[in-house]
Amino acid sequence: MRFGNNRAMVNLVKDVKSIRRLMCDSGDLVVREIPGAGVAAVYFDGMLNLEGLERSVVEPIVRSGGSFERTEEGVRNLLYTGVTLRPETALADTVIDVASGECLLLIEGCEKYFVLMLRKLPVRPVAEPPTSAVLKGPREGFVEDIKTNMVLLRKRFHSGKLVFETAKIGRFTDTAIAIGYVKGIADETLVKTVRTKISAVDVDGIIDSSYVAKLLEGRRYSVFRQTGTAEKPDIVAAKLLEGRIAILVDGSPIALTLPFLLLEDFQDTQDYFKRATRASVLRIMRLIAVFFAVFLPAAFVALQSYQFQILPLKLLITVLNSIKGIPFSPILEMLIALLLFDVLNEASVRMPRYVGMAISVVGAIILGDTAVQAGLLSSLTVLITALSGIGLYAIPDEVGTFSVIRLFLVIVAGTSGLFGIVVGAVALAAYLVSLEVFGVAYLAPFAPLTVSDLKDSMIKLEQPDLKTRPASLGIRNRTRQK
Amino acid sequence: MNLPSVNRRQMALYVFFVPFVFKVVMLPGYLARGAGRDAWLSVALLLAIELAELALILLIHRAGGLSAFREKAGAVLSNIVLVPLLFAFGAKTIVYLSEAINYITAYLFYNITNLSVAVIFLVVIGYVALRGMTAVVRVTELIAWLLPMILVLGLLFGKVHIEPMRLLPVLGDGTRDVFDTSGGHLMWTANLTPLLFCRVEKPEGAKKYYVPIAAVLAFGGVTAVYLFFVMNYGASAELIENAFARLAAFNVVNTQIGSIDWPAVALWIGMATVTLASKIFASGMIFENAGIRREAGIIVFLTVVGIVGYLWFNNVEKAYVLGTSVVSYIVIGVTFLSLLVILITLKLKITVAEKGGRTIETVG
Amino acid sequence: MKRWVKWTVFAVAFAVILLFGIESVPISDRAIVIGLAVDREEDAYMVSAQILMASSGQDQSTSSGVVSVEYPTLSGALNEISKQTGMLVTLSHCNLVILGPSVLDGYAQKTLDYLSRNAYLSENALLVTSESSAREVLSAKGAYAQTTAFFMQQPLISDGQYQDIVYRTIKEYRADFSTFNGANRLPVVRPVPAEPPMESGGQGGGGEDPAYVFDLSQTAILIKEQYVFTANRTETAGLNYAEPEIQRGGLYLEGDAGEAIELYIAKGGCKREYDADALTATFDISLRIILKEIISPEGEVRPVATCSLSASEDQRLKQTIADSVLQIFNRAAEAGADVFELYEGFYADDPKGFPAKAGDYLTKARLNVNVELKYE
Repeated sequence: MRFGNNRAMVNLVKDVKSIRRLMCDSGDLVVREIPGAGVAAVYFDGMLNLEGLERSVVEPIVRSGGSFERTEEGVRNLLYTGVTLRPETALADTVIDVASGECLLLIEGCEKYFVLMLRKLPVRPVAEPPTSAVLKGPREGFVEDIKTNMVLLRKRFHSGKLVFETAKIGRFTDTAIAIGYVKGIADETLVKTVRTKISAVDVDGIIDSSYVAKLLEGRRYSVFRQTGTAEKPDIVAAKLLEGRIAILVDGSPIALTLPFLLLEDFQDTQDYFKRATRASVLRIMRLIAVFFAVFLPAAFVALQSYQFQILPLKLLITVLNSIKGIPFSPILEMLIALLLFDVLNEASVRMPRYVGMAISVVGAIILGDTAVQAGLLSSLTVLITALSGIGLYAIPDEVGTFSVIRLFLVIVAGTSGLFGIVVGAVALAAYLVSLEVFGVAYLAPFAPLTVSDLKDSMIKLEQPDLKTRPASLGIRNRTRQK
Repeated sequence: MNLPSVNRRQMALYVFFVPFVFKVVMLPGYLARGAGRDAWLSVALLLAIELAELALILLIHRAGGLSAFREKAGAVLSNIVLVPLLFAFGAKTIVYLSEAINYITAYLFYNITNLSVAVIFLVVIGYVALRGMTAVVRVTELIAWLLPMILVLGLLFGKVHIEPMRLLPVLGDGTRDVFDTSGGHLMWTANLTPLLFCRVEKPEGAKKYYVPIAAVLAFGGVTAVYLFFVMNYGASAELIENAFARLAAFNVVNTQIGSIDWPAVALWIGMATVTLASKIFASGMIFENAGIRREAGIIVFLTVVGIVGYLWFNNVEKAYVLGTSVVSYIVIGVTFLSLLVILITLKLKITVAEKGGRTIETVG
Repeated sequence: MKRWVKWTVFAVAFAVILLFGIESVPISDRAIVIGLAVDREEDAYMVSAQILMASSGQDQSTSSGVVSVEYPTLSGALNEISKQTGMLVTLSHCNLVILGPSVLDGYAQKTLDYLSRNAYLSENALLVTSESSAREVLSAKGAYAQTTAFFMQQPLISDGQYQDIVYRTIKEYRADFSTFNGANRLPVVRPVPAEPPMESGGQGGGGEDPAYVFDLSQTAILIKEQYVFTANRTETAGLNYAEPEIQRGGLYLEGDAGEAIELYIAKGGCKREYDADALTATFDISLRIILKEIISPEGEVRPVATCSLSASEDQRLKQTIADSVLQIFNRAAEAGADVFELYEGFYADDPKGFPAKAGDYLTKARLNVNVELKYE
């Protein structure tokens, strides 16, 4: 049997050999011959709906005794109508399908090869994602199967305006990607840009959505991420309604959303299920938490080293008493404390669950307390490091980013005090204000200031007052409510 | 010329903050030396000059802006008009940088060299300038949020001991000192020139009032600072080296949470960075107009300014001498002359086009 | 710009910042001065600094020590203190400066000029002078606080301004120095042994040194660099009555029938008017008074809620207040000190005409004092 598009008869022996060779003689490839019928089913072990194969394919063939018309029509008439069947003329065209979990039916003497859609992959059940637990609101979360994820989104849009454009990328993985958007809301230019970028991707394989995110980001080496992520369909649906687009990747439970604004990290899905006042207070508290988390260690170093005149006398006395006898300079002490905290954090994440809790609690207490008693670290330093670490988790998605910024500011504070922190913050602000994600300013709606978008920024108005979509996203259809 | 885009609100914020920055640090003491208790009138004159500059810039934008000027005037004439502004920007940057460094080293640190602060400051100014005018105005939008915090803290914790009597009698010694003092400190005015090097959206509706309102607020605000300064210090005002450091928190009260002048200090450092970065950016645009890459122009210009500033004007007294010398008249002259030439060129229906090496002048 | 260029520039810039970073002396290596005393001995300054000392361990108490050096210049003296203590002296938290009488005679402005230029020293630091040497005052142990500098500041600032204590900061001193006449005032601090005799620290367990309380009821009057005279308690009150704002104070009056009447000044202030032609200044003093105690000659306490001052008592009280103002005015005028800045007032009234006829305005000027009391 030759490959390619030329028509020829199926030769079972040769084609079985060919398909094994095409699949690199993989040990989990199953070739199941139906005796006396001249038919073989080829599939990967564990990926097929065996019951469906038995009932819809094997049984009819066995019952027919092998005498059935060996044409496409004949095969269709033979098999149960519940089976979706796709004929192919070249064996090579069936490789991806078989590798994806479908079944290849080889019928001796037939002109075509048949791909049977009987895939049944092991899929995690839809459950609440561990990283986005909520008190109120939907608890469904995405899973690793892209079709399930698409369904989870589709069932929230009954208007038929939700569009999915699918593609496959990855030379070896052939991973399915779906670009989702709401027709009539999303900016067509943005959709086209993303479509073009994804089409241009030529890569070995895509394992997770983060791979796609990196391929789409304009500044790959920036500390700040430029794509939004969400593990829950209700969050993605809300973002789609605002005019964003979503990207689902097969094998990843994390959907990407574009364009992404830094403000989104300060907003939580639960804000929309609470009273607006409470939501606003919480958002401001998150901002304050992050502000202290990032600036407090640096400020403490700067105050000890340079600008101690800011401290009122009573606080100064407390600080002096606390740091008396510490052998390290303020910057070194703070860097050691931050390093210890990060090591502890990293270890507790990686440790097995059963020992993780005990080790991290004991480790934190022993490390912190012993270091203070040994006179290596001051109690104030440990306190500030702990406060800063906790504050970082007010925005869990940006822990890594702000952790790096915090370190940078501590070093700058150690060399140039509060002046260094201020100019460092100005430089950081200058970087962020000029960062744009698919034409949208990263710090919108604060820079450039878009007053109409402030109603759902650090403060949040009640849902009936959110009548328009964000102007910062540059979409034309801005009316939400009338 | 690829001019960055700035909206009316951003322009208004820039117009509001920039006149404050270098008029509230050492200038109050300088003006008090010459005009005494009428220092506030001296600064009002300087602000009036700045408003006049703003009016010219707005008229230029209404007539098409710098890109239209470039098209009309051609490369040669536009370079002739714009390149002298490099001198103005350079001189101002040297004087203001010296002032900023002096403030930072004298009031925020204890016994450190100017070089350390200068290097760090120049690096950050250069970085912001490289980001462009869009970054400059957006950073201004962010920093502006500190202003309400400062006002609230000042109202809550500030203790004010002022005596309005110290302002009287107004013009008791005549007007000559006031005018002479203003005339001797022209280096500290006309700081809005970088707004020329951007595209500004046409104002619609209420937006057309943003910039004029900001200008009036800046005028009133700076004058009010001077009034407050004189009411605070009276005849000893001329001895105050740094009015901003003294007044930032209405007598710097140490509360339970610490000194409350730091938001004001952070605002000032941020705006000083923005003001200087905008001048450096504008210099970069002049280089771009002359056919040199903007980034390269910025780095070279900043390096030259830094070296000249460090070698010859590395303390505030020398910078003051520069600022009050004949150089200040040249700087003001060049600034206003350039603006007038640009405006006249835009208004006149004369196009200077270059074709095949020959200059063709058409009058339409 | 190409990525490698950007990264190179960033790395170079960061390295430059680290390289040119400012060398720091952390607070653990600094001598935090909380009070400064300056005397003048022959051709040198005797500078004493009260330095905060940290305590280790759980004890969060405050202790301090006084270090004194003699040096020709003030900045040199501070450097010497740094050398002696092994820590860098910093005046960031120095809120009290005591100028000894030897400094007041010709060196006050020079001393304050240096201290003002020291960016760390707040111009709102309190300024006082002393009868004996400033060093003795600073070294005296307070009866109710371990640190003299803290103890002395309490009556001056934290509870508001009493009408019989003059409150002066470096800024106000310099502002008045620059007036036409240059008349100035400073509270005089006098250590008075605490009764019954207490050991320092107030708890009886501090040590064997006697403890003191500090009297601030007198005021030194200066003209420019010259000390002129010391105003007593009544004259000090007179100075304060003429201020735009009086926050609190106490008054004593003997009643018509010999009662002891104690009154409290809740709030007050003075408005001034000037007539340059007549060389007359009018002070309108307005005070809110609360009756606190009335004790009869027999020792019986009368209920204040139902009592009030008689017309003559009211008149006598007003007269007492007015007299205190006039007393200090006249005494200062005789000495040539324009303590109420009449020159500035007359000049504001008639800027063109007054300077020409200023002459010996101080001896010719008349002061009218009107007192209005509101009882609550």
